[in-house]
Amino acid sequence: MKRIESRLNTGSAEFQANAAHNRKLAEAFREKQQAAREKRPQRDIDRVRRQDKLLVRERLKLLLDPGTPFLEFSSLAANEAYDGEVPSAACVTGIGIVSGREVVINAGDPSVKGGAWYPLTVKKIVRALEIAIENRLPVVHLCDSAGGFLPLQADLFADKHMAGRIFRNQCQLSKMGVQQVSVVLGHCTAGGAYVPGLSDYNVIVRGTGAIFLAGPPLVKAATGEDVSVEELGGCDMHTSVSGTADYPASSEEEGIAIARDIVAQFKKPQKANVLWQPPEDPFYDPSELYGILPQDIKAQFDMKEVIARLVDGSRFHEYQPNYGKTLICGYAHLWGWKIGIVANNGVLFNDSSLKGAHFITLCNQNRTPILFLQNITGFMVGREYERQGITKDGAKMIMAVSCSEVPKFTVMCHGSFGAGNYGMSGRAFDSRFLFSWPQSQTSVMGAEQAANTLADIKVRQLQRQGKQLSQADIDAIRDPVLADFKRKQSAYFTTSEIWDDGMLDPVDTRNALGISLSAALNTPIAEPGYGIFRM
Amino acid sequence: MHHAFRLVDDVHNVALSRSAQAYRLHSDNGTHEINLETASDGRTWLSLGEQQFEVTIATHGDDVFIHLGGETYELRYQHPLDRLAAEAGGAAEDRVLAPMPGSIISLAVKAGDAVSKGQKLLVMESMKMETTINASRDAIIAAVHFEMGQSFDRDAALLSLAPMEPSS
Repeated sequence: MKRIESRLNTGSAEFQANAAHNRKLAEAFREKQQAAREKRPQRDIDRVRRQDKLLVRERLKLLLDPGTPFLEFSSLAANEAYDGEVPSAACVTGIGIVSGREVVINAGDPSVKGGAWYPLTVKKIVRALEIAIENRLPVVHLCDSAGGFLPLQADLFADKHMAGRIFRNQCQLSKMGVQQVSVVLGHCTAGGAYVPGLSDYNVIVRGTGAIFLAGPPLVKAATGEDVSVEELGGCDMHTSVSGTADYPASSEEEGIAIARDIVAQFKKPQKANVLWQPPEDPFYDPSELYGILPQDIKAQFDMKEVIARLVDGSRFHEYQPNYGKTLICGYAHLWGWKIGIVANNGVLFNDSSLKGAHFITLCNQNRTPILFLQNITGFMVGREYERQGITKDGAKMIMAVSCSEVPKFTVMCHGSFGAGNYGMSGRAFDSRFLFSWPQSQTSVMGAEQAANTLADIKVRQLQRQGKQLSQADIDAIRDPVLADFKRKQSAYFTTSEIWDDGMLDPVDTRNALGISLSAALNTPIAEPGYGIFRM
Repeated sequence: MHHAFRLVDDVHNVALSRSAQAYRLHSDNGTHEINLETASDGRTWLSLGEQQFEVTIATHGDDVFIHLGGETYELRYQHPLDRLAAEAGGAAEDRVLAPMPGSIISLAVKAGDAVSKGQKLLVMESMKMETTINASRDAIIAAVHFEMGQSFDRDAALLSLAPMEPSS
């Protein structure tokens, strides 16, 4: 496997300008992330302290093995929803190392609205548990939630992927033999009570932890019974009388230490058999990624330069280097693991689509996980390409992606527009993990094209009614559409809506993928099988 | 695995295989038992058959610096795939082809210009996307086949390249 020979001129004005631009974007992202993690109104911090509780980040520090990485999911979830008042969607999820085991962590954040579940909180927890299912990762729940946010109950309660799905996923994990521990650090009321209720092990903290289907005020209203929190669902009642909780703890520190000891009893998984060799840093400096990414979403760049800054030794075995060149396919190692890479270097033509479908089936046959690097404006359009069957060739690629049994990973590197998003394993195609770079954009078509199309339709409609429009009138139709499209295709919006598993500073991508790969290999890789490839 | 090293002006083709003790080096002048070991005091010893030499080795990318018997040797490692590709004269093409249908929106060179590898030649537009085409090798621009704004099909030859004049 030979090294990619970089053609980048790191001294050029263009490189320097890109680097300055993208470093600024990465810095802005990190500031936003830091604020979502730490910045809270003083009164909320005071309330948590008054209740004798720790902040969620302090709890994580106690739970995780010191000096190990924590891959946080969707740290900017809900950053563009609820007027920005629910940072990180009021919960922290991610993969961390506890007692030497990779686990998924689901921790409520009591400093945000008492840890209330907003619709995006539910979506984030459901996704974290889906990650646990797909990658067979044990789960540690740090429970501290005020319950569902009632004014928005219609958006979080009953539908297939709403709150009930949390409990459904917990049951599926248990059925698969993947273990869960809950540490009850606050009140688990109503639905929230089932999180410890459906865990294999649970720990409850005396004084602050409680589990009940209805709290004292609701009980009073329903039956007239007067009962205290401790009597109704406190630590001693549940660990000595009801058996709903297993381990009493006298403090959060003790509770989390018990959880660590429980995880230490879990079997260590057998990883799927994927070729591995000792890892090697990329030959080219990953920080040069900042200089590669253009400032304009329309500008192309050579994705091979990106690959050279992600993979071990910058080595890459390119498959079909001379065919369908707008799609790069090939093998590399990442943190030692052998992977296949499918990366865009332009529009998808017939030949590039066929090459992609072929390579994906190859990777499935030899059980090689696949990394998709997206920068795609779509499949080629026009008479010649329709005659060549661009739709059916694209369909082959989508079939191969959909039916892939090997773990898939997707990074939104730049543009992701139209059906290209699908062919390159977009969110709907069950990539085990999907991450976005700060300047990336995702939408059904580019903002300008969409705004022009919509404005055209409107103008023609009005013309049929005999109305003449001035340029100012047309702009008045076009501009709001353009602004709305631009906002909703930005990576900040897509990550806010949890269409990905989080935004990444490009230089962190290699590490995030390393953790993702290691997690994904806990699940055995099944035999490949597909539907009909339209020939 | 075959390896090739350039030492001064000569290319040496060697292959390494496992032996019961350590390694065997296969070269044009025979097969040698060979081993490289770093002792606990940090000194590195090269053994070749019965002989032992102390060596100091430093690497920088593909450059390997070896201090042996009072002399310093500088070797350059070449991946066999690169070497074989170069031997077959299969270097970059003489024509720059359009990766997709479109038109040229900016042209950075003209016929007769000398360009170096990686230098920007032109920017084309297709499917609302701007693609910069760079030189695949050092060359002289022999001809530019399309004008600004003129549209072309996929694989149209946009530019022709001629080899650089041999220096002096």
